[in-house]
Formats: sequence, C-alpha cells, structure tokens
Amino acid sequence: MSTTREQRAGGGVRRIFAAPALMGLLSLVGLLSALLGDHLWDALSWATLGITLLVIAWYIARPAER
Amino acid sequence: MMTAKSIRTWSAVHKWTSLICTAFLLLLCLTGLPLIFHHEIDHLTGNAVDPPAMPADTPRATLDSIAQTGLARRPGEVIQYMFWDPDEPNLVYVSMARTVTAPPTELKVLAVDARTAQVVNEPTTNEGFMYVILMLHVELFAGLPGKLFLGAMGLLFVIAIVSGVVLYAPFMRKLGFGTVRVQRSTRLKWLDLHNLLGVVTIVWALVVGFTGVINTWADLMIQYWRGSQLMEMVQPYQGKPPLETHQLVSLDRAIATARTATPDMTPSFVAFPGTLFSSAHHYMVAMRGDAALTRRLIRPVLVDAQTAAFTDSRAMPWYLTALLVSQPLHFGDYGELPLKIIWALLDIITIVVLGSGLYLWLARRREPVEAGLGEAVRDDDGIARQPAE
Repeated sequence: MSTTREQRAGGGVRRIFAAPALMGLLSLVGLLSALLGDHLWDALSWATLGITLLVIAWYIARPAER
Repeated sequence: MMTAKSIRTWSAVHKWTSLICTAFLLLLCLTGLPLIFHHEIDHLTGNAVDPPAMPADTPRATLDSIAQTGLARRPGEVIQYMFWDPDEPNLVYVSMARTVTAPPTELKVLAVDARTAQVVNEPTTNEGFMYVILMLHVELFAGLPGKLFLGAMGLLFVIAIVSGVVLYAPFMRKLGFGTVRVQRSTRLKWLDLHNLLGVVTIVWALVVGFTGVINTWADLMIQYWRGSQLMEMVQPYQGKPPLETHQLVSLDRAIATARTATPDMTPSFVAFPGTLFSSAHHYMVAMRGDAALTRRLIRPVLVDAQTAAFTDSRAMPWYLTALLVSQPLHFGDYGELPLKIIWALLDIITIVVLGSGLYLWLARRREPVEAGLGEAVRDDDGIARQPAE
C-alpha cells in the first residue's frame, strides 16, 4: 500500500470502525446465508467468512510497520 | 471520543470479565475444535458406518420391525426415541435405556438400516475420547450446574467482547486498520494482533458465544415446555394410568397419523410415551420441514399411543425455536465441510485472541491499562499525547 499511516489515520469513530463494521457485515451475511439456503447460499457463506480470514492473513503477512 | 474516566471503566470491565472467563473459554475453544468435525471423526474411527448400497426403490422396513430389532438387540431395555438424520435417509436411529425416564446420559443408540431393519452400527455414545471432549465442552462432567456455569462464562465472554469493541476506538485513534507494529516490542506486536484478530472476528465470536449460552439453557427450556405447552396439549389425559408396553399401538400407524396432520412435513424424531419429550399416553412425533432452515425446526404432533388417534399439534414456542436455530449457529454444521474448516480457523483465531489477551495482562499487570493506551498514542510517530476529549 502506498498510503502512509498518517494518511490512513486521523478522523474519528467513523474512520476507526469503518473496516470492522464491513468485516462484521460480511460475517453476518456468511453466518445467515448458509442457514437460510443451500448450495449457492452455502458458497456465499464460505466466500464472505473466507474474506474476513483473508483480511487477517493480509495484514499479518504485510505488517504496516517499517 | 471517550473521556479518561470512561476508558478506565471499560478497561476494568474488559480486564475482569476476560480474566474470569479466559481459562474456561480456552477450554471451550480447544474442546470445540474436534467437536466441529465430530461427524467426520466418527466416520474415520468407525463409530459411524454408512448403510450398504441398495437400489433406490428398495422397499423400506416398517418402523415396528425396526423397534423389534432394537428390543431384540438390547433385551430388558425400552425405546425412548427413534430419530432420523436428514442427510442419511437409509438409517433409523433407536435410542434405548433401562427405563423411559432414564437420563439422556444413559441412552444407548443403535443405527438400524431403514430397508432391512438390520443393525448397521452400535455407536459408542458415552465413552471414549470424543465423549470426554463433549462432556468437558458441555458441562464439565457436572450436569446442569456445569452447563449453567459454562453459560455464565459465555455471558462474561460476550461482555468482554463488547467492552473490547469499545476500547478498540481509543487504541486505534492514531492507527490505520490492521496496523501490526512488529518491530517496537513484543508486547506492542501482540497488542496489535489482539486488536486485529479480535475486531475482525467480533460478529462470529458474539454469535457463537451467545448461541452457546442459549444451548446451556436447553434443559431448562425443555422442562418449561413440558410444564406449559405439553401439559396443556395432553390435559384430557390427566389422571389416566400410564400405558403398559403391550398396550402401545403400532408405531407405523402413529407416524401415519402425524403425517396426515402435517402433510408437508417429515418425521425428525419420535418420543415414546413417558419420555422427556412426551406424555405417559402419547407418541410425540416431531415433524420437520424440508428447506435449509425449516429442516432444523420441528412441530410436535401428539398421537394417542393406544389408539393412534390425533390428539393435538401446536407450533413450537419461540424459545424452543430460538434454541433450534442457535444450535447450527453454534456448531457450524450447516454449510458443508468448507464452513466447518472456516469454523475451525475462527476458533483457532479466538484461541490466539484469548491467549494474547492473557499475555498482555501478564506482561503489563503492574501498570494500568491507560498507560498502554498512552503508549499506543505516544508511539505513533511522535504525535503528542492528546488530552482525552
């Protein structure tokens, strides 16, 4: 990522919780879709919950720190 | 943003709820890991056996003959339940014990071929590694008090998550999402990992945590249902002497009555007269739907066990429906193997969150948490500490 931490930082509650809220929304879709349907709905569940795991892997594999 | 005082309060809430529940949550996460795959493990260890392949149009044995198979296999015992697995229509499971009122822990299960009425497998349900794991996970070998205790720990876990979310804001004031500062200090690295892993898995952890809590109340809910809805439905039978085994009507006729009463539904299980889920005079046929969600919900149909006449059927009360919905959400068994693998990974992440939380407390217990907050701010490229707003 080319943005520096200062550019990404700053701002208030909205900035801090934007990404966590998106992760939460993806998780919720994943938890419910497999419950409410089969086949494609199961796959949607794997995809959305899988994205949250990939996000974690991404930030661990590429620490923002020098 | 938050005042210094409210940060202190939330820190205290996060610290104490976490400290009390962490040891038990670690146990729950570790024992929960193999339980996610109990179906696969049972097949690998031979504790679950597939029925032999036969043509799809092979006629099915009567349920009465399957009941006879069970009674012949375990002489002197009685049948408490017969149940079906929606994913394995060629097996009927027969749960037996010495008496109809024997507790669930004493039940022995037979897997019987639905076409030949031959016993396919006699799975061990109350011994072995998976049994120990299950008991540790569900009740710590302490019965209902053990369940309720673990439920209380689950509630503390939920409070710890909520307070953790509140504290996430002051910690992240000067940091971008996902920042992991690996080179400053071990403690700072684990603080950032704790925050990252925790915040991404909030919703999953809250759902699995709270549905686990709901499951600890299952015994109480069933008892309440027995004393309210079930009692109302069987009111006309009050005071009648309990039925003897030889008075019981054909099970196939009882099931036929239930199918007629709920034409679009399929039997999920049958509770025999005198058991936890029925009265002394009825078969309780639990009918299920066929869609992804309704497959897991049931509608009780009470059938007179002496005449096979329809007695009553009502929708499950909301709390039992909530229990039935909370089970898949806790077990992760509702989206095939990939969902189970995701469940396991999220479970491992939760173990790391719990472990790192414990480490952060051990590494810093002589300093108040606000000092850590100050450091998080101070550390950020020399930006001066801001007074709390």
